[in-house]
Amino acid sequence: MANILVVDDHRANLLALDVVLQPLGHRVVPALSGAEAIERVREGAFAVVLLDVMMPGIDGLATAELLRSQAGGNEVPIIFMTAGDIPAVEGYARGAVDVLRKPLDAHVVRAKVSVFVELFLAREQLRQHAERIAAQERAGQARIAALLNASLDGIIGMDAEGQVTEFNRGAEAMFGRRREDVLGRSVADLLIPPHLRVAHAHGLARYLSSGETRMLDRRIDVTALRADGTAFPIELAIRRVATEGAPTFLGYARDATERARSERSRAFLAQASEALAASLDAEAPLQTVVRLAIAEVADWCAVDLVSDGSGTAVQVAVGHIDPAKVALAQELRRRYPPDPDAPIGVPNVLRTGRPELHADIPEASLERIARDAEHLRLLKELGLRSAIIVPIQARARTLGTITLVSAESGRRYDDWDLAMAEELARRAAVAIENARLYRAAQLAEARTRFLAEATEALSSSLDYSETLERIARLAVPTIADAAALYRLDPDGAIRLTVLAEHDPEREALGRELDLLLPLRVDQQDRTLPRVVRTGRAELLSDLPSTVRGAWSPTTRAEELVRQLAIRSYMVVPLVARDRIFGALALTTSASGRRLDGDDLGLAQELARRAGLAVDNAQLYREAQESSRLKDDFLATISHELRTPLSAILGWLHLAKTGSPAQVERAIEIIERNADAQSRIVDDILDVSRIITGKLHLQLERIDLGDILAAAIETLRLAADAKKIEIVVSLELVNCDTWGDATRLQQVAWNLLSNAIKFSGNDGRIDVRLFREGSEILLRVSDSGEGIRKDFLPRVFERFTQGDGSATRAHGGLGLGLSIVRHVVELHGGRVSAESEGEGLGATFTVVLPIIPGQAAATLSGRASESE
Amino acid sequence: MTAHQHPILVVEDEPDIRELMVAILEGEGYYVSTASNGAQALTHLQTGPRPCIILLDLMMPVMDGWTFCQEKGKDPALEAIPVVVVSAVARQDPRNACVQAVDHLLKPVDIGSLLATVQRFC
Repeated sequence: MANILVVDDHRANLLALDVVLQPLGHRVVPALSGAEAIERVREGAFAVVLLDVMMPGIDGLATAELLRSQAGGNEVPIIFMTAGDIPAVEGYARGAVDVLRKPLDAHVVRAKVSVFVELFLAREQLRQHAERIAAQERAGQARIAALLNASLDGIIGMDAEGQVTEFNRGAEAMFGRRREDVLGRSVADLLIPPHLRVAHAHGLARYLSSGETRMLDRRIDVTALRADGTAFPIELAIRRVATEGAPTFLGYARDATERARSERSRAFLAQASEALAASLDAEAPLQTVVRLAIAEVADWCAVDLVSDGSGTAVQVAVGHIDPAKVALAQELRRRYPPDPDAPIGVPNVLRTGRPELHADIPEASLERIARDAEHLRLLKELGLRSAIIVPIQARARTLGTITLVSAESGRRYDDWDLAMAEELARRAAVAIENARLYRAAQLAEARTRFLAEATEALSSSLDYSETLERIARLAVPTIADAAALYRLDPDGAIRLTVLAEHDPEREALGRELDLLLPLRVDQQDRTLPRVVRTGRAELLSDLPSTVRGAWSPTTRAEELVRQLAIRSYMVVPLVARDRIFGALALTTSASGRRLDGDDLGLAQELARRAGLAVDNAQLYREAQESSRLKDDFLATISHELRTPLSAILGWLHLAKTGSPAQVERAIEIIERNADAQSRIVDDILDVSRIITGKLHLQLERIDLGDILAAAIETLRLAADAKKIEIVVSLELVNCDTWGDATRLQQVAWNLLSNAIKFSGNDGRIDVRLFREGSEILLRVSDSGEGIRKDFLPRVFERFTQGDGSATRAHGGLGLGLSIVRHVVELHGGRVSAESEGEGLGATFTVVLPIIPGQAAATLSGRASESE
Repeated sequence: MTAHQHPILVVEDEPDIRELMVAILEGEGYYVSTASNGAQALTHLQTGPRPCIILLDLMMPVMDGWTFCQEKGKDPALEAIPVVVVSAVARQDPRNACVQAVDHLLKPVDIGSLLATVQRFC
């Protein structure tokens, strides 16, 4: 429906036109004057205006002009109506599209108006359509702008000249630039780091000339440039915008800093995990972790582990790109060892188990930590900027710490880095725990195997010195790097008997040091003698400087101690039959491992088994010896009994057939040999009594001078036969003492008959009886064969004679002196033998206490208890 | 009684037994020389007349019978002289391994056996 404006000053004409135009079905708007017509046109759009020319006031032509000058009115087609004759040219000049003559023909009016109405409606439709399209266009533009800006990604438009045509808010945030500052400027200059600009220009030129590209329609990782000049990684997808003519491009960029970081740390953690899992050694993989850390996440990295024994932290790994800096850090730590109570840093993390993040390390903190000016200078020299310390925890125990420090790189650690470091620590903890468990299992197995082998090796020999040698050799290298076996000698000296050392050069050093450090059991300030005295093992996991000092009495010793570089030292006593016979000292060198309680336990177990082996060796040797002695004894008894028997029987035979002189001689010889035989039997019986504890003293008041004289008398003939002179000195006067006269005579007889037996012809025997204080001494010295030094201590033992059985020169059972000692000891006395050596004679001394009558009762009680 | 050309050497440390041996052997008409240990016996062999037999005790001072046998064995001139051991040491004693004796008489010696043995060599 369109509007038709009808203007005529005659109402009747307006009604008539209304009637004429009604059938067209459009709205007919009447106006009675030009002014009203202008008013109506101002209010709405009309498809056509029918305008009466002749009107009072403003006439038709003026009205048309006014309508034309009015906005929106210039396009309205005007049809003049006139009864007069107006030149058509004038009408058209005024914008008329037609002129109708009055009286109006209704058909003509309707036809003409209808044409203009159709035209209007068509144009109107066209206009509306165009308007709708424009509106749609506008909405689309707004939507695109919203979309671009809503995107978190940065979107950058670029034309074929490489200039920025679009730059959304995401891009603004990402690059730190404003849209209006970049539009129309070079992408390369603003957004691409200098070193990539040439490649960018080449790539664009190649695409424009040949269409070749590797950049379009795929995700690429490139480095971009921020307004502040820092480079950062982006993920970029570039699309060509479908336009005619020169191509334009849209780049979708995503900041990949986080992703790259996360990928790097994931890769770092993966590498670290691999290194940690690669070895079951606890410390070696930590070195790798440190190396990886300084390549990826830190300028400095250090790992501190709490050592099992001491509870203090030991830096097991430290790293920096520059080895000189590492040396500086180690020097720093050596000179300023960490204070375990420090409020921040590794000690604090070890104590609390909570991580520390120091995003910035202001100089003021360094000043707080520094112990002195030099310390502060060194700390500053390290150029510390930011730091993280995380605990390595397993099973609620803090095993150690990992420290990451940034310096030269200027990197500033944040929570994200802390989380990464904690993850690293967690993985390290698992690895360390596994390594420890594995090591413990391995150690337990090695120990079991070692002890089994040791037992076998030790039991395979019954030789004493061979056993000792084996103990030392076994300990190296299973327990320690070096083993030294010391023997406690009767003179109190402790002597090195075996030194087992892997390296012959070190063995030479060890031996030299041993010579410089003689050991005696009574030394108070030395570890080894103390162990030998107390029987308690000692472990010095970290050799203290005091011990090092005790080992360095001379500059040469100090030099040797330095070269041997002993780290750990332990000493275990060697015990056989409840007697400490020596000690086993074990060491590791500085490069080796640290001995701990487990090692000590193993060494003690080895020492215990060694003790048993030594026991066995000794028992075996003694059993052998005892068996040999018994065999010898039986052979001797047989021989000694047969010899007089032989004389007796032989002379009896002769007596039956011989001359009277021979008969007389036979009787004499038979009597003497029968006596000798009966004495042998007596001796055997005495020894038997001694062994079974049935030898008892018959105490009475005695005169030792008489007893001695009687003994000498019975031996006078034997002495005369060898022309031996017996010189007696009786210096005992009025000595009132008690004793068993028969037994004491036996003592004197034995000593004298020995002296005669072992003296050559024409010898001399000195017998002296004298008093010294409350004791009586009987001393018998001869000028005979003497006694070998090594045999002296055993001369009073049963079944022994100085001469070994194979070359035994003398008859006799070897029982005499053992009976002497026993009888004297029953009297509360003692015996001793001295000799300057073979061929130099011997002196036997019997020391008897003077026993008054009242004491004799006590003595006989004691005598019956002994043995 | 026959006088024998060669003496019998008795090596014995016990005077009573040495005297006994001399009395018995001389009573049988043998010429007897004596030594109280191995060393004396060796001297006798080197300086005196060669005996037809040596009656040897084993357990003696200075030089025992075993050592004497070894020393005698080293001298080709003496090696062939027969030795009869007369000892209280059992024949099976391991020390006797080195002794090359033609007979071994255990003390106390049966006089008849002793004379029978001597007769075979002298």
